[in-house]
Amino acid sequence: MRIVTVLRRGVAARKARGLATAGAVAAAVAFLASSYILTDTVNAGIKQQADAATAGVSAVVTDARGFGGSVLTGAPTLPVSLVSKVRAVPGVVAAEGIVEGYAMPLDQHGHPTSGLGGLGLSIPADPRLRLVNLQSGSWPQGPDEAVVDAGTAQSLHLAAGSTLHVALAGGVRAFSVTGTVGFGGAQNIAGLSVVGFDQATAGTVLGSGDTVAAVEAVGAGGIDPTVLQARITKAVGGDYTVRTGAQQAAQLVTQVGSVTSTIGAVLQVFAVVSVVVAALLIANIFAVTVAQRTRELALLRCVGAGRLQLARLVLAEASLTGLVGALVGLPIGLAVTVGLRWGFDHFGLPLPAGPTVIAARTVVLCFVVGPGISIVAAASAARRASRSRPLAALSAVATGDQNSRLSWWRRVISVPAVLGGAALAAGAQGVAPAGLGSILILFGVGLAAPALVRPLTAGPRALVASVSGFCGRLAGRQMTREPRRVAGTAGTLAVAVATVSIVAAMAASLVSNSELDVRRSLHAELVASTTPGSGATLDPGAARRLAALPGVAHATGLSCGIFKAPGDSEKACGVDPATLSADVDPGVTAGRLADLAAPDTMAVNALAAQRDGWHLGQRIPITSPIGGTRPVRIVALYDNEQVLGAFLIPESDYLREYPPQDQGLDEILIRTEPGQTGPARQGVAAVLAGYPQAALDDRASFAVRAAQGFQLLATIMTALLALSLLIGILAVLTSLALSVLERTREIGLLRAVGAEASHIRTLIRGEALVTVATGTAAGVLLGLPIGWLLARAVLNGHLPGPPSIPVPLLAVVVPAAFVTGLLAAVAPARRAVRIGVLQALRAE
Amino acid sequence: MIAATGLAKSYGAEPNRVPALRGVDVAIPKGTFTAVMGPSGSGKSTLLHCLSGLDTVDAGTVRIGDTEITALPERALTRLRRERIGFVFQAFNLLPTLTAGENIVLPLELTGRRPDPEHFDAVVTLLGLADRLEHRPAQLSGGQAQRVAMARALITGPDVVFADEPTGNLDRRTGRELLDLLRRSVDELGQTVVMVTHDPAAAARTDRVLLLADGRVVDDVAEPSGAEVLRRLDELDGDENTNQSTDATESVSR
Ligand SMILES: Nc1ncnc2c1ncn2[C@@H]1O[C@H](COP(=O)(O)OP(=O)(O)O)[C@@H](O)[C@H]1O
Ligand SMILES: [Mg+2]
Repeated sequence: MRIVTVLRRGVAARKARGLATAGAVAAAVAFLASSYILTDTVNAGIKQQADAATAGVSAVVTDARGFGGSVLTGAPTLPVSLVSKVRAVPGVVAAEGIVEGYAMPLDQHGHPTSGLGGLGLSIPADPRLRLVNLQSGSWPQGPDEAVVDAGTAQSLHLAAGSTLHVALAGGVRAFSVTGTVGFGGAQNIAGLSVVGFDQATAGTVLGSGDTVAAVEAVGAGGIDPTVLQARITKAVGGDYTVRTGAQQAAQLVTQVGSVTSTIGAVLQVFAVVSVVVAALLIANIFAVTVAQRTRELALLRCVGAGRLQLARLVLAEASLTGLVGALVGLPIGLAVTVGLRWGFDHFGLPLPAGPTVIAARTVVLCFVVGPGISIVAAASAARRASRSRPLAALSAVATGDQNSRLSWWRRVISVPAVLGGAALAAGAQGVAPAGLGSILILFGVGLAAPALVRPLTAGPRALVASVSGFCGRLAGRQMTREPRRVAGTAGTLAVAVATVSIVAAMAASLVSNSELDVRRSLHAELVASTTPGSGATLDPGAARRLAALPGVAHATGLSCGIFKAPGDSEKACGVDPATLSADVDPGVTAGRLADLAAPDTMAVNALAAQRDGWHLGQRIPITSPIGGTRPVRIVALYDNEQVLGAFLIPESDYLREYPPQDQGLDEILIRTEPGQTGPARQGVAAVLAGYPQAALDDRASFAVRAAQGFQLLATIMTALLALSLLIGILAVLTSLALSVLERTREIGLLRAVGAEASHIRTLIRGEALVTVATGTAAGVLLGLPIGWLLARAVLNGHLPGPPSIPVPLLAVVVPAAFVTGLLAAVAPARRAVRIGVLQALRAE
Repeated sequence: MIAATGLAKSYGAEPNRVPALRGVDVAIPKGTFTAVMGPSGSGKSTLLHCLSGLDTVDAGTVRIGDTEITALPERALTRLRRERIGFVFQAFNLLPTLTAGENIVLPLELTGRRPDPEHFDAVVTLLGLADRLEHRPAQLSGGQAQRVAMARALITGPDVVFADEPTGNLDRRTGRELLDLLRRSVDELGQTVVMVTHDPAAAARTDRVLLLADGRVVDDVAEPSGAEVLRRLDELDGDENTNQSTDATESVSR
């Protein structure tokens, strides 16, 4: 009714404020929506592909202990003999062993086509057992033919009859392409390149020997899959898990999903940060505007509006703008999704293809969060509005000055919060308490922010004053007069910058830690390595050929495979302690590495041991793919894990306990004769040219490479969080715009006594500069130490190196914040200049 | 010397056009104190704004000294305001973030100039602000604030000071003090002052009263006395009523 009219008029009259609020909500909702849409789309794509892959299959037999199955879970472990056992089960009309392994299509220059990995597959003779479906051409037959996924075919311009070079564990081989395949409607699965061979060829080229990853069976028409499942289970025994086709599809989704869930988690963190920053921005907008409207609200009180009515007025305005923001944000989120997808592709992390999924949950969430953050952010402003006394505000000469004194509760809470948070984060032995400590620090600083404005802005203010003269000084004065508004604005920006800095500092510390690890431990002059997690290996013959080269003293191949310990699944590498110390110094902290010569022993990285609660001398029951479960004794703990990994077992144990494919080498450490590194390297490179999956490094470049996967994740995360800087910049823009509105009369007066347009621009720009400088500096200064503390906590307090400064961040994000901050001043400054002198002087 | 001829100014667009000035000719000699009076809405403020280049005119010319300000571009006008014109408004004359002293030198500071210390002292002493220079506007009384505004208007040694109801928000005694100061600036510094006022007693302290009604100069009283001004204002009220009724019949007959 009446109050609604006031609301409507109020929103209409203050378009700038409404736009800024709705804009902040829209940005947050857009990022939130895009993170969910992208995750849902990826998951739907995976599900669709998994369903398509298992469509005609009645039952699938896999290793009950969780080994094998795909490049994601390790090398094939089932004996080929299992296939005939399954075929013999009554009701089974066809069964085949699925063989998987590393096979990477190469481009014209001999480079791998996918950064993620290459999946080599067997194509069973029975069409119902095939994981892939033919999109063009025909199926491969014989040792020289292969099919390739449609995505790769497209990018390499392959058609039936083309020749394709494929990197395999045993080296590069050429195949004649007979056709292209897809997974359901999609061109490839989870961004992997796929090459398919006929059953016999796959066994040879993928190096699976007499093992298979899974046995798939088709039942006779009319037979219930669960009946078949029961029969096969009985036939193969308890060492194997038998799933129906549908169950296997679900299993595939969880397996692939666990990989993509990292991306989902990163996106969610990003969305939460956006929402928090947006809420801060909105809170600031409402705080400023309610202060500005003191007179208006007091007048309403004079004419009889109740306290609750005023609070409702503010909240109704908040929810209205929040709703509009959500409405606008959702479609923008869709657009952001496209951008993110492109970004992931660009970073070399292509996501599974599939139709875009906008779940009802996403829409509901947007329309809850949108008005929600707006209402929460406006709550304290609403409280203040309801407190406005009818006459006080009307009679008071509004000087616009804000109090920088903190209320008692802010004072009581902020200091202990910061100190306690710092103590918690510094003493933390885990990520959770360190994270909590970090949040406490940010919270405490936030509470104290209005009191910090004067000291923190002193430097930038002096700088701006010395550069821009009188108007610069005037800008500085304005800021100390409104510590709350400035604190809100700079604080919003600071939180955005701090989040980016935390991630960057944490990443930099962890990266430099891992580089330090390599530099301290690696003695070998050269390292040939494959990308971890890609499934790529080199055949042991490669190491022997390298060792025989002139100038090479010796070459040690390192094979690694998955083992299971109670509640854990880790990768162990087989080593010979006799020769190991010449190549690597793991930095033993307890026990003796030489004891690894005895069977059934293990050496463990100290940090990993601490995490798992293992100690020296303890016997741990571990399960390897072959040979079942056996206890191993921990004979040594060591520091450096980048070269060797976190778990070492005797080479002889490894050879016995792991299937053929796991015998491929992940890494070859090469020692050269003294002074022969240069010439030896040429020979090594020539041999490795036959293995494009391996990269050749010296010590320095291997240190960088070791941190690469981690670096990639950090880069993506930083890039995403940098987007939340946009909201921080929006905060500067709206704050300036509101401040200009509020000071219309002052600007008019300045113009009347002869200030030029350029003077006014300098004034507004000066304020923007000081705000941005303070916000950015505060964000960086808070973020860097917190990031370092978090990195330390991740490593359980073992961060030996000095704190690392993330130089790329400082070089890119800080100047970017400055430039955009200056750009944010453009519109408010133009507005300020456009105000007519007389009109301004008449303004209330 | 300020001379305006044929000044006309209307606000708003048809059909809601409000004529504020309808052909005003005034000449204000250097070193004189002129009062502009008239009923509310008669165009006093508009006249001041046009004379000072704060507002554009629809027709007519304004000259300040040799400069025809109605022909000047915006930047030149800004400069003119900064260097050759002083303003005192009814309220909100000071920037709250600056001290009294800083507010006084504001027009000079904008272009980085330093005030001539002698002139500064003279102005500050004249206005009795010597012990108030470090105060913020919020710490000043209304009278003090207006005196600071006056000091700012005088600091550049302008050709003319325009004051729009400078005493409007002050009590009688403070108002009278400010008026004394304006008078003394004319007498002692040879300043030219044009002031809008509603107070006949204030008008009596000036050299000349221009009476405005309905956007026209309807009377021009030299060496006015309070009683004289009051009489003329009363007369005007009578005229006003007849004028209004004429307007009404005109609009009806149209
Ligand atoms: N910005 C404006 N827009 C529309 N009309 C205006 C504006 N300023 C003044 N007026 C009108 O012009 C006339 C003269 O106004 P003004 O010069 O302020 O009178 P005074 O100062 O004598 O009270 C009045 O009718 C007033 O309503
Ligand atoms: Mg007026």
